[in-house]
Parts: sequence; structure tokens; C-alpha cells
Amino acid sequence: MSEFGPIDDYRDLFENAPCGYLTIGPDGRITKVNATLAAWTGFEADKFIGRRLHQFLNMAGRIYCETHIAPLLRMQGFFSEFALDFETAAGERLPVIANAAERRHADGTLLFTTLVVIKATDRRRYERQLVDSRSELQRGLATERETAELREQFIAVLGHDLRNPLAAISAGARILQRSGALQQQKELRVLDMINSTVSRMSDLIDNILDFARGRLGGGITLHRDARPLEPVLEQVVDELRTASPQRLIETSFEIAEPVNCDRTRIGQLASNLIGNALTHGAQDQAVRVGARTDGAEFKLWVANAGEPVPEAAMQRLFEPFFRGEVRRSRQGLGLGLHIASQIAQAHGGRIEVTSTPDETRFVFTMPLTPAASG
Amino acid sequence: MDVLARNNVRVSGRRDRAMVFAHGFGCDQNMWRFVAPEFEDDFKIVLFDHVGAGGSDLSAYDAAKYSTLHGYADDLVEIGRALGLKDAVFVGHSVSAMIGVLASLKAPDLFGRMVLIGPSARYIDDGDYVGGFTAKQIAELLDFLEDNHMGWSAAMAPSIMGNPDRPELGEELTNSFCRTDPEIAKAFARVTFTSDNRADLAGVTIPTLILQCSEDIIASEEVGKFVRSRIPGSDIVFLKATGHCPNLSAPAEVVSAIRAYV
Amino acid sequence: MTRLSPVVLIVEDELLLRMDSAEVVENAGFEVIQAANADEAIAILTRRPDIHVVFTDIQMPGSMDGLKLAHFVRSRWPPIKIIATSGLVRIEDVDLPAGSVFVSKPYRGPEVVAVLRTLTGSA
Repeated sequence: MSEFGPIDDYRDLFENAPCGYLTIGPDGRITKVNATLAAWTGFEADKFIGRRLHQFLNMAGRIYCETHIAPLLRMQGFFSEFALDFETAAGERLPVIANAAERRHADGTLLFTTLVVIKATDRRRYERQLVDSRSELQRGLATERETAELREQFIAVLGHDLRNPLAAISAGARILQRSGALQQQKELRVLDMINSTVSRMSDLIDNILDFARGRLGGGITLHRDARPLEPVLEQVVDELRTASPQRLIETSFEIAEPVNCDRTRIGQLASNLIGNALTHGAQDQAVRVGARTDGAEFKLWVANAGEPVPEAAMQRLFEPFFRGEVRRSRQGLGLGLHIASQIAQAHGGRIEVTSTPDETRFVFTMPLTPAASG
Repeated sequence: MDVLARNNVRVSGRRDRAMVFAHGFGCDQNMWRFVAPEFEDDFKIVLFDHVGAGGSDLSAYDAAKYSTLHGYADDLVEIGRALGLKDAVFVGHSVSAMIGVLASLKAPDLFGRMVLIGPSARYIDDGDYVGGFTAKQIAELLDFLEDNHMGWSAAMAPSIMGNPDRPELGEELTNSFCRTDPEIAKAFARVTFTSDNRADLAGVTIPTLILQCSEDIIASEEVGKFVRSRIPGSDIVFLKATGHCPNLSAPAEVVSAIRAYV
Repeated sequence: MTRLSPVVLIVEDELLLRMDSAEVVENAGFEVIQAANADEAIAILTRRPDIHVVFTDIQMPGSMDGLKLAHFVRSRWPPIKIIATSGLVRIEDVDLPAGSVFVSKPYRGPEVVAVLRTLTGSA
């Protein structure tokens, strides 16, 4: 850097500017360079004069010069904010951001071209990191999509392979039933139990696969319609009564308006809530189930008597695999409430639970008109 | 897909005999603005943009198709057929020189004469053959292109179609001559600089003129002479112009060289 | 007293399912032949010229699955009607010969009987 001169010495402002300056003549050869650029590149100023710009750039820069910079300057007279890599005398890379502009005579002849460069090591490095991480992200997304497809296929095949033997068991029970060979009450009850056990297994498979699908990013897709919901709820209760004939389930359904929902899923939600009540509630008391619409909302509740849910468990009820303190004989997977809450969410609703020594009550609420889809 | 819209084809001039201009890597048909108009009185001028450049339809870009120069050559043949061209003059700059060679091999009746400006049959050195670049340098170039998106924004793409004769239109036109989707630019650069068409040269059957610049770091004199030696019956003219784009830096010289040949 | 009942060939590798379907279809008045896989089915079809309908599962082990069997049957014995069933694929995803019926698993007996009656014109 040369000595600082007086403040209005333009030459000094040029030489010692905080940026590099280059002037290039009409023949493409450098005519001026300022001290700053000389210092940055490690070349004496006189090394620049008479040479061409691209001789101080790396190969990529040279190509870019010929294919983009020179043509753009010729066509629009300027080119701003482009990146360039100088090669210093020490053989190192000097990344810069540059602006270039042509100066022409009134008659159009080219007088000279000015180039201003600003050191941009950090900025260029930052931008490069952005570009690199975006590429990585895109690759990651592509892999994710592939993996998700494979998982979906796997889940479908798994479901099929698990349900096939179940269907065979049901078919066997039907054959025995039809044969008329089983006459005794006890034997006929065994057939009933086979059927209801198969049904339970089937629900379990549904829950597991739903869980797998939901956790792996698929989520629960709904097929909504406004067909009557009550028959579905009645059937769910009937099946549970058949599976637990010694238990009392009281129902009170007053569904006055059509409910736009996925009936199978709501049935599944009800089944999970009632099953939960049967498992954890007082075994000698009724489980009460009710449903109604009231203007803007649809409500479904399930209440049971018995020990209240411990405070610590209340926070975690809807977590997957959470089983709480339960009698050993009826563990289950701990997915029923979790799936129920997923179904509630998918409908834009929620499940709330209250638990006192008098009763434990789960209430599912959803809006009748979806606020925002899904 | 309308071929003429896909490649932003512009036709002007009064005559029957056509002169087709093909731009090279880096810019678009606007780079002929100082040369093409000079021939409007004697020829039908055909200008176009390769898919991925200028005002071409970017949605037509297919990575697989354009992974070799043949994809671009097929487009050129399609344009020729759509316009009913026969025996036309082809003027190709840089990589378009080889694209034109490939097109003439696919459709020998399309062009009657070719003018190749700054051609190179292969850019990367290969044994005794000096293309001018190493593979490493080309890899660095591809990285470097990513550092220069030039204000590209996918959202702006439709507004890039500007009128280059009216620079007062300002912002939208800045850099528009050379700006395109950085992904496509990178792909085109890779295809261009890794191409090898040395074996195709011998099959050319029409009169061909090579215009060679001095101090062209992209297509050196040695490279130009190689092309001259392999295309049967071809001629070479050494221009005084320097650099890779004489059609912009020294249009008058280019115009007279072409005029003398056609 | 002879009764000319339409003959149905049921092809299903899961034994209990096959037995159950056979009983239901027989009770509905059809004559039923059973096969556990495509090879057995083809052997039977080659011997017996009187089969009206082939009711086949799609997922089956062996040289051919039900889909290929369906196409084979259509090309060798065009007049034979075809019902295909599966718990895995959906009707949109399978390419069955024209005029075939697809039933998804789990299917109910009456559903299949209704389809059989339509296909054999004995509704």
C-alpha cells in the first residue's frame, strides 16, 4: 500500500480504495490496476499492464470470462455481482465478487472497461456451503421418498400375510358351524370364541399397521362421508358385548345431524376407547357409551367406574406403547389410545380425559364442518 | 410440443434460402445481434435458443435427452424440418459447431454449407490430442458455475423474455442474455466440455468453413486446425479477432468472412 | 334325476379358505372342483371340458400366480368365465382379461354366489 495522500487526491482514492480496480483497454489488455488489487494478488502493478484479465484467473474463471463476462459486457454494457477466482502469485485462490462496466464513446466505440473487485472469501464460502447443503438435502429427499415407498409396500404385504391365516381360521370355524356336527352349547360357544378372537387379532393387526404407517410419516388417511354413524357404533358395541358377555355396556346415542367423517375410523376409535374402559374399569360395573351432535360439534364419550387414572399416567395416556399399571393378564400393546388420538386429530378433533374416584371419562369432540381440511 | 415455441425460433428476412444461426455455451440467440441482421437482405434468417437457454421452454428440458449433444442436434433437425429447410447455410458458434455437424449427419439434406466459429471436437486433452483442458479443470468449472447464479430465480423465468433492443426496460433484462436455470447451465456445461466428436468429423459431406480466432483459450488454433484436417474439403480462416466470441467482439470481420464463403 | 349344474373350479392355496368357499358354492347349487395352485388347475382344465367358471386367488405359490393363470385360461379356453380375488392388490392395479370379475378379500359367501349366478346366467 502506498503512502496516504491528501483527502481529495483522487489518485490516492483510486490506488488505496478498499476494493480492487482494473481498467482494460479496447484491445482487451489491462491498462491500469490499483495498489489494492496488486497487494491482494501479490503481483506488482506493472505485471498486470499489457496482459489480459483471464491470465490472472483460474481456468474456470477464464472459461467464464470468455463465455459469459465478455459477451454480457458487449451486449448490455455491464455485468454486476459475479463471482470470480483470481490466482495469486503464491498460487492460491482469491475469491472475489466483481462488477464490470464498459465506457463507450458517443459513436459507440469502446473506450475502456472497468472492473471492480471485492474480496469475498467468507461470503463465497458461505454461499458454497448453502449450495452444497441444498444438494445434499435434495439427495436426501429423493432417498426418503424411495424408502417411504418401500416401507408402504412392506406394510401392505405384511398386513396381507398376517390376515390370510386369520381368514383361514375364520373359514375353518364356519365350516365346523355349517357341518352341524357340533351340537353342544359349550362347543358352539367355542366356535363363537374362535370368531371373536380372530376379530380381536384382526383389530390388533390394524392398529399395528396404522401405527407403523403413521409413525413412518404416512399418517392416517380418511375416507369421509356423511352416512349414518349410529349403526357403526351399535355394531362396535355388539362385537364387544359378544367378546365380553359378562360385562354390561350401556349406550345412549342421539346423533341428530349427519356427521361427515370416516365411519370405519370412528368405529375404530370407539372400539379402542370402549375396549380400554372394559380393560381398566371396575369389572363389576357398567361401561357407559354416548354420542350426540350439538350444533357445531360431534361428541362421543366413554365412561367407566373404578380406580382413577394416576396423575403421572394422565400425561402419557396417548403415547404409543404406554400401558400404565395394569393387571398382568390384560396387557395389550398400549396402542389403542394412541391410535384413537391420531384418528381424532385426523378429523380435526381431540380427545379429553377426566378421572376421579367416581368415574373416568374419555370425550372425543370434532367439528361438524371441517375448519381446515384433514 | 410446438418445436418453434420450444426453441423460441425467430424467422426474418426476405429470401428463400435460409441461414440458421446457432449460439454456443453461455448465452442465447441474442449473441448474433451484430451479425445476423447483416444477412437479412440476402437470406431468410433463422435464430433459435437451445432448450435451457434464453427464451426457450425450460419445461421441455429433459436431463436424459440433453445428456449428449445428440439431444440438441435432434432439436436442430426438428426445427429444420418444421421450417421446411433444405440446403440452408448453418452458422454455429462454439459447441453449436459440433451440434451442427451432428445434425448434418442425421439429416444430410438440411444444410448446404456450414460455417463453424471457434469449433472444438473435444475439449479435454487425450493422449497426443490437445483439447486445452484437463478433466480436473472442467470439474472446477462446473463447481464455479454454481457460484454464479446471476440473479436467477425460477419465479422470474417467464419475464426473462425481454426485448434486447430496448435496454431502458431495465431490471428484468439484466443478464438475461446469459442467464438460465443454474442446474441446466451446469448440465449443458458438462455435456459441452466432456463431449468428444472427433470421430464424427469425417462423415461431413458438405462444404465447411472454420473461423478461428487468435488467443481463444476455449478453442485454440491447434483445436481449430484439427477440425479442419478431419472434415473433408473444409477451409479455415484465421481471424484477427481475439477471444472466443468474435461475433460479438469483431462482428464486421465475421460478417465478411461468412459473406465471402456463401 | 340329473341336474345340470354349472361347474366351478376354485383355485386357492389356503386349504381352509378353499374348503369354506367350496361348501358355500356347492350349497348354492353349483358343482365344485378344487385346485391348490395353477399347475393343478391347468391339469384339471385339460382333462375336463365342462368347466364354466374359474374362481382363483391371485397370490399363489408355484409356477404361475392367479393373474397369469387367468390370462392363460382366457387364451386356451376363451369361453370360460373368470373371477379373481386378492387381499393385497386392488382392481385398479390388476390387468385382468376382459369380462373378468374382481372380488377383494375378505369376501363373503353370498357375494361370490351372486357373481357366479350372474356369470353363469343362472340368476
